[in-house]
Order: sequence, then structure tokens, then C-alpha cells
Amino acid sequence: MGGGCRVTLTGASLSRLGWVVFGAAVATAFVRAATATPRPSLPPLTEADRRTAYALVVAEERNMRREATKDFPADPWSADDAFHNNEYRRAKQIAQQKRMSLQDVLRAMDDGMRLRWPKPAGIHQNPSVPPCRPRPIH
Amino acid sequence: MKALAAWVASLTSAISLLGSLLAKTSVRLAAFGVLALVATWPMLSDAASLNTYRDSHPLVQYEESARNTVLTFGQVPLWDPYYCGGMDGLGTPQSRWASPTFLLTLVFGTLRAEPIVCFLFLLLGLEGTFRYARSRGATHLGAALAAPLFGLSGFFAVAPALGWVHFMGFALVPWIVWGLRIAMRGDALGVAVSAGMLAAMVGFGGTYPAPMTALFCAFEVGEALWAKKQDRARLNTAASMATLVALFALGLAALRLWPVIQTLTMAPRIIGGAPTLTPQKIALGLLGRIKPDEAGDFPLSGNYLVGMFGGLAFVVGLLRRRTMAITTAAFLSLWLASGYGAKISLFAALKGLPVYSTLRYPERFLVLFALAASAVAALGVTRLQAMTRARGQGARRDQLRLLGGATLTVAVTLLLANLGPLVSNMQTALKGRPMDTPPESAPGEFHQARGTRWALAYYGPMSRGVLSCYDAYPVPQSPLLRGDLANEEYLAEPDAGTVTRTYWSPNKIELDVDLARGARLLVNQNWHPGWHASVGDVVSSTGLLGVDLPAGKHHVVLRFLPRAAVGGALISFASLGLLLLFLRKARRLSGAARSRLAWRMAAATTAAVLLAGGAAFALVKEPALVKPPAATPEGTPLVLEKLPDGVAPLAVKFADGMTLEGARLRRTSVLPEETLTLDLYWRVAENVDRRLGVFVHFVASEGEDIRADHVMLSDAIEPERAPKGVLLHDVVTVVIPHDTSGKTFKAFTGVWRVRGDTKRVNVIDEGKGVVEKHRVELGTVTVR
Repeated sequence: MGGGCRVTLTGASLSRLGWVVFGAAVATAFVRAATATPRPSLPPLTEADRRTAYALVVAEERNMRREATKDFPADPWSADDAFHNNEYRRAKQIAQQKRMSLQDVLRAMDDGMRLRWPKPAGIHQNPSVPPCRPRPIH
Repeated sequence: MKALAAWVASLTSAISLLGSLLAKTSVRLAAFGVLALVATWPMLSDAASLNTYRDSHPLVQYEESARNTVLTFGQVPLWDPYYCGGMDGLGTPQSRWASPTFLLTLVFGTLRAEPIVCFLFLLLGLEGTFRYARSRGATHLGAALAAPLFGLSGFFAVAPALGWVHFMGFALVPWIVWGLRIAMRGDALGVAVSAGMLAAMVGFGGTYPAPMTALFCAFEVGEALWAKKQDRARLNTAASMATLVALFALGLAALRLWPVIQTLTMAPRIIGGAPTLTPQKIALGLLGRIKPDEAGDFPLSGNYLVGMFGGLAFVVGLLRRRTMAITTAAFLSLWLASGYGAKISLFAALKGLPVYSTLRYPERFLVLFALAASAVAALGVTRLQAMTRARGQGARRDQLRLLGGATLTVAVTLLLANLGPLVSNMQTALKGRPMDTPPESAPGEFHQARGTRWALAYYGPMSRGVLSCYDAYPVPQSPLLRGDLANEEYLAEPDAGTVTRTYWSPNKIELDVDLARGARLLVNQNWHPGWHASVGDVVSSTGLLGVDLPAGKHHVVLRFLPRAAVGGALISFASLGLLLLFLRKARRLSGAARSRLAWRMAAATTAAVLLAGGAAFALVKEPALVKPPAATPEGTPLVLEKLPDGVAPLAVKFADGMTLEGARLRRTSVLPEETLTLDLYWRVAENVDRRLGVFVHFVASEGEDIRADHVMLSDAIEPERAPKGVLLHDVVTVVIPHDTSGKTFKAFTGVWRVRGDTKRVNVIDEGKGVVEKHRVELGTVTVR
């Protein structure tokens, strides 16, 4: 014992050790992914919050569309897509400011349009979209 | 000197021991497994959250929609109603459910399966690169140490970070070419590996991996046939097995290929631009480090990282004669990656080929460069190992061994050190992902929302489709889709009767319809030839799914079962059966007999493809894909017999086959936010260049110009597909920006090679037009 401990791995045991490490790596990947904790969600919106969120986003639809059309005056799909990007950013901003769930804000925007919730005067919402026409160069 | 030699010899023997360890499959896989685990750890740890990068949304949605269709409705996800108003689930090129990884999605869920899939693909890429390098003559040590140059290269960091999970399919490239190489040497297993992996790659989605891999395979086949040209028997083996790989790959992938081809035939992808990559940018991509910008995008740096520390082994590899072929592949990849930047552009030539015309990003060829570089570096290490065992006698041998040993030690140390930047590059990319709360399930009756595709992944779990739509091709989408309907199924004439939904699922909708007179039933989804109805005639109602029904009470069952899916599945299963038969029979044969078997199987596979395809045509009736007569957005005919009254003839002739016969600005004075319409009248020659587009510039008196460049004439048809020799009405509309009051705009038009070098096409005959800088002046517009 005084001369220290010498470990010798034979070919077979080395091979077994390799498989064990390999199996452990794969198992760890699966278990880690299966047990990862999701980012925390926010409490659901009240009906009043939902209507407020809808009104806040829809109030800016005209301006957002104007800006988008200015960027793509001859390309209806691109202008509409740019508007939807602005709309998404606005929804996200409202969700962050008011500590609301983004998904709930998006749901409120859809429900508001379908159920014809009250919206600021002079605001028209187009319920359709121009067909997808990706730009040849972007 | 002797002490140095002894020290180097001891290091060499340690390296040799490392080589012996890495020769053991289990040890090597353990090392690769740990590497892949460390590299993907940030992704695995955040597996339950949503990557909110814009491109991640549709790819998550495609997979989640397929999972939901299987688990909630017990159906094969042939139709995806959750995006763009409905699309062919198999035919959309970026969906990936038609691959074995879908099983992981079913078990773990879409979000949690993503990092597992990426981990497994990294593992596959590392082992595949090892095998590929071995097949090129590298030692175990060289092949194992050089494998991360490809397996952990920058693209496999960027792809999952941006949500482009389907691009992890590139990790299968080394398996495909390795399988092909051993197949061409007569190994039947190689046929199964190569064809199977290629089919899995096609099923896994994306429009880049498969066509680019096909190029690499073509190179391998060319190299093999050239090397065996003196030996007829070996040449025959290589040719027969390569043919078989190609046929089995096409056959196995038919389930996915046929629908994708159908989709892209219905809606061709139009790609313009002349992307260029300078040598400096290529170096930055290969050797720089990833740094996400504020928008969550990844500028080129490190996106294709192979690592500087692999340089010594790579350079030594370049000096070997036997690396000439793979070095050529590396060079060709770099040439292609330079895009239009090269004086003679190989990329431009490649884009002249039918399938390759849709490639946009030449830098993606750096992925193939990384694979070739791995093999070259592996062969470099192999060369250095050979030097340490130099034969002969005397001082020269000792010097050679010393030099080889010392260089090998440095090269191996550097390759091991290279793992640091590669792994950390990957972790940087994965940690830079914009992660957020995962979508929560809120079941309910399905309906279409206008929605926003920028947050697409949140809608499916709420049982809502999203009409706001983007994919890399013009998704066939009806302009009549609406996001505010009380009922998703309705009558074109509401007073004709009533419609009640009794059952809804993605592939099957059941309705009770009561009609006082014959009427058209409309479903708020896109039409596709794969929809069938139990009663009445399925029609495309301006792109909307419609059924013309007679008067009376009907229980209407609408089913989606496209011929392409049925035919593709029949062909894939027939090919799989024939592949298994080939493997069984080939075991008992060798040499010429195996080649004869391969040719027979190739013939049988071709016959099976034709038979299965024919059976699909017989079994599933579908309307032919006949495009309606082309019309302008105003509904008027695209083809005219003569110029309308009031349009002055111009007859300006451009090179490359287009003539501007006339033009008219409908108004010369407009208000902000009004729509201005411009009529252009073109004639296209038979030999028109396929790369052309029309530019329209409204040059402002001050401030920003307005551009109305386009490829599709009247948003209906590209010049090369338009009827030739006739007058074509191209209606261009422009919404005047809200802040342009008081400005004037001078309008010009011309032709440019938007899908080529992006240069203007010369005017060769000015006719009656006012021409300046190869553009025709059309008049002036004043904004009041």
C-alpha cells in the first residue's frame, strides 16, 4: 500500500467506461432538457385589462400603418408586414409596462377585433392581410 | 539535442496513446458526447422557454402544429391551418416533422425537444466527420481531433440560436458523403447510410442542406470515377452504387419531396440580389468570434468558425498530395461562398441551374468548407504521425522524426486548444437568444386571427390561426381571408341557408348545411388541390376554400388528402422495401455480382417509383394545377391586343429581351396617402433573360425617392414565364407617403438583372422614349 495505488484499465473495461460516460452524457442532455424550468409567466389579465390593452394597441394602428406604408409605398405585403412588426413591438411594450403576459395581450387584440370591442373614434381595423409576397432582395 | 529528442519522443508516445484511446468507439463517443453536452448546455438549461427571435416563431409553429395534429386529433399533420390561412404541412419547405426527430417532439414537446435534437445532431456531426476523415485515409487521432472543426463549427452555433433548427441537418453531410464513399467501394451498408441520411435531411427541412449536399456528393462521385477510370470492375461498382444511392435517396425522400416540389411549382420562390463576400469577410466568418447585435441578429463574424488553432494541421494537410481532391473541394466551397465577389462567379453559374436558382446566401457554402477543412487537417495530423515513424537510418531519419514529433505535438495541442473557442462560440450564441415565457395552452374553437407573424408561436396553443404571413416563398394565400369572422364556415350568399360546424380538425371538417337554393360554401382557409368534399364540388374561390353545393340538407365532410402526400408515401415505402431487400441480397454477393445486383435494384427502384406514382394518380383525383388566366390586380386581362387609347407608344427596346411598348401615369397630381397608379406595357421576347426585373423610380425633388421595383408583372407573372411576343399590362400602384406634401416626383422605369448581377439592362433602341442612363422618363407627379 505504501507504494501508492496503480489503476490499470484493460481494453474491455476502458471500453465499458467509455460507454458509461457516453450514456451519462446523453442521459444528462435528455434529463436537463426534460426538467428545465420555464421562464415565469405573469398572472392572467382581468377583462378590464384586456380591453385596455386592446384599446392601447388599436389606437396606434393608423400611425403605425402610415409609417409602414412610407417605408414600402409600392409593396402592400411588405407594408402590412412592417405594420405587424410595429404592432407586435407595441403589444410587447404594453405587456412589459403593465406587467401583463404578452400572450394575453395578443389574445385581447384578436378578441377585440372579432368581438368588435369599442375602439377610439376614427380607427379602422383591416381584418385581412395582403397575400405573402417576400421581397426578392431583403 | 538528445534530451530534446527524448522529450519529444515521450510526448509523441503520449499522443500515440491518445490516438489509441480515440480509436475505441466508446471512448471517442464519450468524448464527443461530453463536448456536445458542454456546447449545448445553455440551450438544454433553458429548454422550457421560447426563443422569440423572429425566425424561430414559424419553425416552432410548424413543429407544434404537427405535434398538436397528431396528439390532439390523431391525424397525420398533412394540413397546417394555423399559419397564413392554411398551408400544406408536408409541402412547406421549412417544416421538419417528416423526420425521425419528430418522435422526440411528440415525447418531450416542441420546445424541450429542440435542444435535445441539437445535442444529438452535434454528436452525429462529430462522429460523422470522424468517419468521413477516416474514409479519406486519416488516422484515428487525426480524424477525432479534427472532427470538431466541422462538428462544432460556427454554423451549428448560429442555427439553433436563431431558431433555425432545421439547418442542423447540415450535421448529416459527413454521414452522407461517408456512406457514399464506402458504397462506391462496394459496401452495401454505405448505400443505406447515405440514402437514408439524405432522405432524413430532406425530411428535416430547409432549402439549403439537401441541394448543397448533392453538390458535395457529385464531387465525391466525380472523384471516385476519375480515380477508378483504369479499372473497369471498380468503375462499374462505383457507378452502380452511386446510382443506387441517388435513386434510393430520391425514393425515400419522396414523401417530402413531392409535396415540396408541388408547393414551389404553385408558388415559385423569387430570389434577387448579387450577394458578395470578400476574402476578409470569409476570414471573419471562419476565424472571428460570434457577437450577437442588439436586434438579436448575428453579423458574419464567427458564424462559420472553424478556429485559428486548426491552422497548423490544415496547412500540413494541404502539403500532402493525397489531399488534393479534398483540398479542391475546400477551394470550390470558398469560391462558391464568395458569391458574386469572384471575377468569375461560380455561385452565379450555379444559380443558372433550376433548383439552385433559389439559393440566396453564398456564405452557407462555408459549412461545406468546414467539412473539407476538417478532413484536410485530419490528414495533416496523419502526415505528422507518419513522420514520427520515418524509416531509414542515421541522422536524417532522427531529424525527420524529431521535426515530425515536435510539429505533431504542437498541432495536437493546438487542435485541443481549438475546442475552447469552438465551445465558447457556441455558448455565446446560445446565451444570446432572446428567451421568454413559453406559450400557454388555451383550448377553444379554432378560428383565424389576423394576428402577427412576429409572435406567431403564441397563437397555435390558443387554437387560433394567424393570417399575417411570411415564409421565404410566396405562400399561396387568399386575399379574402378574414380575422374577424363570427363563423369560420359561411355561405357566399348568406340568405341562401345555414351552416353549422359539427366537427373541426386540421385535416377534416364536418358541417351541416341547409340550403334553400344552390350556393357556395366558403371556409376561411386557403384552397389547395388536396381538399375533397363528400358533397358538391371543391373550388378555389379567389384562393379561398369553397364548395359549390346543390339545394337541400347536406352533411358535408371536407377532407385534406393530397395526391403528393399519398404518392410520396407510396414511393417512400416502396423504396424502403427495396432498400431492405438490397441489403439482404447484397450480403451474399461481392464484386461484379454485387454491381449487377445494384444495377438491377436501380432499375427496380425506378420502376417502383413510376408504379407508385401512377397508383397515386389513379387513387387520388385532384384538379390539375392550371393557373387561371393571368389578370392585373384590377381584374383586367394581363394580355392585351393593342395599347389602350390615350397611351403614347414608346417602343423602347432593352437588351436581354424586353421592350417597353408604352406607359402612362394615370394622374400627375395627387394627395398624400392617395394611391397613384402607373400602367406599363411590356413585350417579352422568347429568349428573355431569366434574371430580369422591372425598376420604377419616383425621384423626389427633395428627400427620399419612392421605389416600385418588381419582378412579377402586375403581381401575376415573372417576365420569363409570361406569354411571349404579346402585349403585357403591368399595373404598378404606389401609396404616396403621408409626409410628401408639396414635393414633386419624376418617374422613371427600366429593366435590371435583379436576380443576377443587379446591373441595369442597356437600352438598345430608344424608340420614341426619353431615355437617360438606360431608364425611360415617364413624367412628373406633384403631391398637393
